[in-house]
Amino acid sequence: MKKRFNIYLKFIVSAILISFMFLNFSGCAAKTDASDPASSASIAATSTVPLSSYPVEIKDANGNVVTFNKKPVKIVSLTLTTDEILLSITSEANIAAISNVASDEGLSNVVSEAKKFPSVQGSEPEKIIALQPDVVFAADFTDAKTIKQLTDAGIKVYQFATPNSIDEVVQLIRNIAMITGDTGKGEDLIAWMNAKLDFVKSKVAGLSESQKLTAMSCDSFFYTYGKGTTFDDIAVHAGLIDLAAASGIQKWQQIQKEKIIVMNPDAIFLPSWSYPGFDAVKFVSDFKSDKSLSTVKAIKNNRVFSLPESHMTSVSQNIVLGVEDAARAAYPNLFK
Amino acid sequence: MMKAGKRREPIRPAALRQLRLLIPVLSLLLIALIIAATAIGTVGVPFADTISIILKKWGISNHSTAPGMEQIIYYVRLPRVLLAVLVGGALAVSGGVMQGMFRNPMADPGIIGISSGASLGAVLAIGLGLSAAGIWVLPFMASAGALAAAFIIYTLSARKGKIPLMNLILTGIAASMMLNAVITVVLSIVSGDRVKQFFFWTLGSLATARWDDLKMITIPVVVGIIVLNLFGGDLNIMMLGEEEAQSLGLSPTRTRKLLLLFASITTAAAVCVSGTISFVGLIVPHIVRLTVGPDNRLLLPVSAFGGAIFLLLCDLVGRVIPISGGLGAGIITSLIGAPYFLFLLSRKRMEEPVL
Repeated sequence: MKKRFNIYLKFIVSAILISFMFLNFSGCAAKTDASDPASSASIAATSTVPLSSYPVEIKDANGNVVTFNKKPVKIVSLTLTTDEILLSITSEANIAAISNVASDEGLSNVVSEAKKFPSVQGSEPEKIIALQPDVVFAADFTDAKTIKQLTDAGIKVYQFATPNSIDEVVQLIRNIAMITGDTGKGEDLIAWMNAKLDFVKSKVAGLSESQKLTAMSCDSFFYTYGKGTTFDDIAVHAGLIDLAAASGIQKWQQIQKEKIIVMNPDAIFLPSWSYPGFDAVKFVSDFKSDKSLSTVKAIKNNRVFSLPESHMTSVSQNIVLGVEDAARAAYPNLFK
Repeated sequence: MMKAGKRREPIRPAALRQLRLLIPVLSLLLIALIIAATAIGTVGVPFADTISIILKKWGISNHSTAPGMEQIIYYVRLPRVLLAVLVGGALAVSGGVMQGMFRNPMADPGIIGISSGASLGAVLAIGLGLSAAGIWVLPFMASAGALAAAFIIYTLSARKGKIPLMNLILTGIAASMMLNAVITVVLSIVSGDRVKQFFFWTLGSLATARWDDLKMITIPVVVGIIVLNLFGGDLNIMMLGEEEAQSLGLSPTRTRKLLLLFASITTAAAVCVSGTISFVGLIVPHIVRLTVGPDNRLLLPVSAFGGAIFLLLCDLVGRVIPISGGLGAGIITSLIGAPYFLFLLSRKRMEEPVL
């Protein structure tokens, strides 16, 4: 009797241990591929999102719950943001098409990879439907009727909220990774981002508030970017003070030259991307030589920067390259 | 329409015979073009498959096609083609009515500020972020703007219960300029993305057509076209002049009010889903008039078909043109319509004495 009880007990304990090991192994299989972060994280690299096991239910930018019953193996990406994230975390074999912006050398960080894939735009619903994708990644600014056309045709669309901060970029990467079943690679990517941010932080952490440079951005339409924008977040991480945010500007707002003169920033960030109808080089040159702005500290001290648009306006993982670019431009002595 | 008991102008046998011949022929032509336009697009779908897919939706055929083809035909192309038919017909008939009412071959629905009013409604919907609340918001506000503009222009131009034509035209021009100024102010305040959204609306496009759009506008457009056609005889009488019309028992003021109302509703229903599409209401009735003559009982129904065919073909050209994303139908109609309008203008100048 006692012997039989012991056998049963061993069997039950063994079963529990094996089950535990099995669940742990299958759940952590992706994690064993992740590399350790280079240093302590500014943003928690430990995912609070459950690892992908389908079905996956996830809310999109409109608050709709999108359900994925299996791993998508045919993905269409309609934005550069998702192009760059997907190309970093998922197998190329799973990508059916990417956005046409991915091949733009002035904006994209994945120009060479983009050549391997057909390109589509949101305005080409027939091409998208013909690909019969498992999921289409689209931004919240994509025309609602275009999205409806695709969903009417039975195509699953995941509309993401355009990130306005590095934290939101991280969350987007986690959401995409969960959908594609590549949570491990997603965490790898986040760890890389953290490493970059930590590196910059190590350089600028010693700056006191009075030593930090004030900065503002100005795009081709003379819009400046304040609180709640990626520029503001880039500035904060780069050890800069975004004057637009400091003066109470929320999001983006057109700014007149008089305001720039009064705000008198130490550094100004201008666009670098030229497109039909806009010559960025000429814009920067005209801005620097504008006599009405000659008293502005940024112009007097030659701190008018035109950094790679593919970093500064990125809302993919490459936004951290914008942080590094901005910090290096503003504080070159700290990076020697 | 004329009061009961009053003598009605008899339909001339020739006109009736023409109508009886033209309507079936035009109907068959339109159906053939609808099928052809649905079969043609950036993704190749065999003609036979297109017909099979359309018939399959009605439960007539069971033919299977390559994956995605059914969705392309049924959810992307067919609603777009049918919308082009409805919008084109609506704009052409409204244009024919305007030309008859103003006795001017260069009049179109824009003359009473419908386009500007619709644009203002649209820019407010986009600028205030209301269009994000639902896809019905933009068409609703565009329609409301169009009708409000037509009402205001009509009210401002009325004098002692009558509406002098020149008053209506000049008030329409002035009001359109004011509305465009307000639109510019709104655009200067809103963000770049919303400006872009409004810009694409003003270009006029059927690219995002859905069955919901068709459900929304089919009844007002079809009813509007039918009602306007029923006024064909009265429009003929009004073209004789105010006094002549009154002597024949017609109330020009009342008739004009009804025509303006139905033309406004028909046009507003059309532009609320397509954005502003120019020149259809101008050139189609004009070309039809050169073909079938000025009798509005023939002109208006033929213009309905003509407008449908014209816009369908313009949208098809915009779809297949080798430009990424294609071109909106409004751009194609402008590229064709503007030179024709200038041609009309040059002919009109040659006929008038020079100061």
